[in-house]
Amino acid sequence: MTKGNFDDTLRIPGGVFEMTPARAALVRRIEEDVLSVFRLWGYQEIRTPSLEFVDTMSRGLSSEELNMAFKLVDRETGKMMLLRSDVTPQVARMASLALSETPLPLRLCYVADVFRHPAHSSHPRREMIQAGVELMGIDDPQADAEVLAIGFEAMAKAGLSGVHMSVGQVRYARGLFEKAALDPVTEERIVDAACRKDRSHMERILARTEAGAKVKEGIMALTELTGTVDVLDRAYAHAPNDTCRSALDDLRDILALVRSYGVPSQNLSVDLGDLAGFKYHTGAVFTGFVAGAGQAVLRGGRYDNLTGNYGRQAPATGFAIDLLEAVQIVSGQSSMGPAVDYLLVNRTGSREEGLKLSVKLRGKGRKVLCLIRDIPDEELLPYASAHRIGEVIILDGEGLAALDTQTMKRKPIKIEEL
Amino acid sequence: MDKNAVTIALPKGRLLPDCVRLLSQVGLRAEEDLLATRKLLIPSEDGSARFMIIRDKDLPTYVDYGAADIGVVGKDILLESGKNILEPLDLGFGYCRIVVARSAEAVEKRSVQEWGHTRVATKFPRIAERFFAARGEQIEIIPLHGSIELAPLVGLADRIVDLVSTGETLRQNNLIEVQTVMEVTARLVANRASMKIKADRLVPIIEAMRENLQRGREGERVRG
Repeated sequence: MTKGNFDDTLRIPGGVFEMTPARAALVRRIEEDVLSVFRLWGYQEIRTPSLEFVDTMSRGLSSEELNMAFKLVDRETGKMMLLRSDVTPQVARMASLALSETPLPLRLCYVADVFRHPAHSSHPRREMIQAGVELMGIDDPQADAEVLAIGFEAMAKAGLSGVHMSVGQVRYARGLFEKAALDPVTEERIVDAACRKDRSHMERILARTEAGAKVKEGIMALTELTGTVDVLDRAYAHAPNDTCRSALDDLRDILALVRSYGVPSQNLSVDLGDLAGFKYHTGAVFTGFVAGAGQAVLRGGRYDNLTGNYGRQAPATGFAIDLLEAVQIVSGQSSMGPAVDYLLVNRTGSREEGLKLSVKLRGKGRKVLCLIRDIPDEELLPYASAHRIGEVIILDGEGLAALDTQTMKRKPIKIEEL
Repeated sequence: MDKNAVTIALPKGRLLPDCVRLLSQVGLRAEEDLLATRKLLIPSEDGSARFMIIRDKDLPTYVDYGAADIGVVGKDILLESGKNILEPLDLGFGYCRIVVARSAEAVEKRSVQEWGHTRVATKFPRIAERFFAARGEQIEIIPLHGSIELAPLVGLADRIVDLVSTGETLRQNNLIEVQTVMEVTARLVANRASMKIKADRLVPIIEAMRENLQRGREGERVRG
């Protein structure tokens, strides 16, 4: 088969990925970096199943989210199953069942593949890798601040520079909607307009409602209450009730704590109109952006009503990082070292001698690859570079020598130097 | 060129003169005449921004991926694109409507209720599908790229969903507007990440535009 005459049966479905060694190594490195940060904060890694019953996940996912999942039928039970489309409900179930005897709060983390039909025509990806944390059992700004700080640290550790976190509080909007006594359909439309910062649409929707002028003004302001912390002061002026005011106090507290963790205030901003996930979230929400990525790399927030659906009521907060989006940015910035330290060429005539040397080197922690079938010197370096091997070493009657990548000359070396 | 320059996407075609006027009102002027140049990427005079002139249909994609920070595009194109981007300003210009039209002959023969399952030719399959679905009408969409008005004349479709500004093309082709799907104006759109990361650059531009629009509206009221 030639490349020009592509065989259709070799195709990979759209939106899923395969990774060649260089890519896989980069993704693995980022996974490990991120997990190492989670561990530093005392979060323990869990694994969740790739397949779930739709019934089980429907306790934690909206019908829109369920529609987005890939489904299949279980031959044993005849029940519908889905490919993991969200990890958080799985964690909520684990907290309620497998860890039901473990006292709260729980600090858990994961790296997992999730599968979804694309939501917008925007991102045609169907397979994603998410790395996330969940802190279950504390309703306190300190919990939200902790999770936010971990998000910052994990993204920085992964090699993403200039991370910007936008923080919102859905209870503020909820307070305004309560005051305005909106019907659910109108509320949904307003949420949608706020998410797009679409003032003109919002104006038209509000014009058709009975709400008072003052609260309408407050709702309109959702589209522009974004920016530095002083947004909270402006928001106070619009706050009609305690729901709104307590939401703002909570947010102020969280932001102060996050700054105490050493996060510079220019990397934080407030967005009270961030109502994505309005139905699901119950408090502070946050979205992480990085220069170079058009979309959010991190999403998270408080969800106090989820775990109860699985039998153990617990206030909770957490986030997930889209690792593939992160890799996309990091791969442009970083260069990784060689994947293998040495390509060992044994020309002594004794197979044993070569093997012994390789065992010795691996014992020292060096990554060594033995050339089994010899090739001419001029082919050694291209082979090594194509396989991301750092150095070629040749063992023959004269002893051990390294092959210089420029001159292709042999330079005698000792094992101790390797 | 400033590395943090703001990238502004503008649509080729009928909206471009209004876009250039709007930008110059808020102090953004290109190094060259945007209406005449054949360059695709043009720096601003002060180097604080750069402009790209692209097909309107591609514009939401550039903004969605963050290749452009902000842009101007018609609401029709924006809705049809299905992209999840911010649209902080209704710029008011570029007004037109998306309508359902049929041949005059067909309108005479049958009442609305008798339409039943019909074929609809359109450049806006997503908008058309949503419109008819919301009214419980089952239709078959025939996506076309141009000269939509031809479809009912040669029996390809019973109805069309198309953009109308003066209605002249419809009249000349003996078509009658039967329903309005939506009104369309130009929107300022913005990338979500850019709005956070480059807020210090973008917010002043958007606020200046908003004030300008408001002044324009008040001016109209005074004159009217």
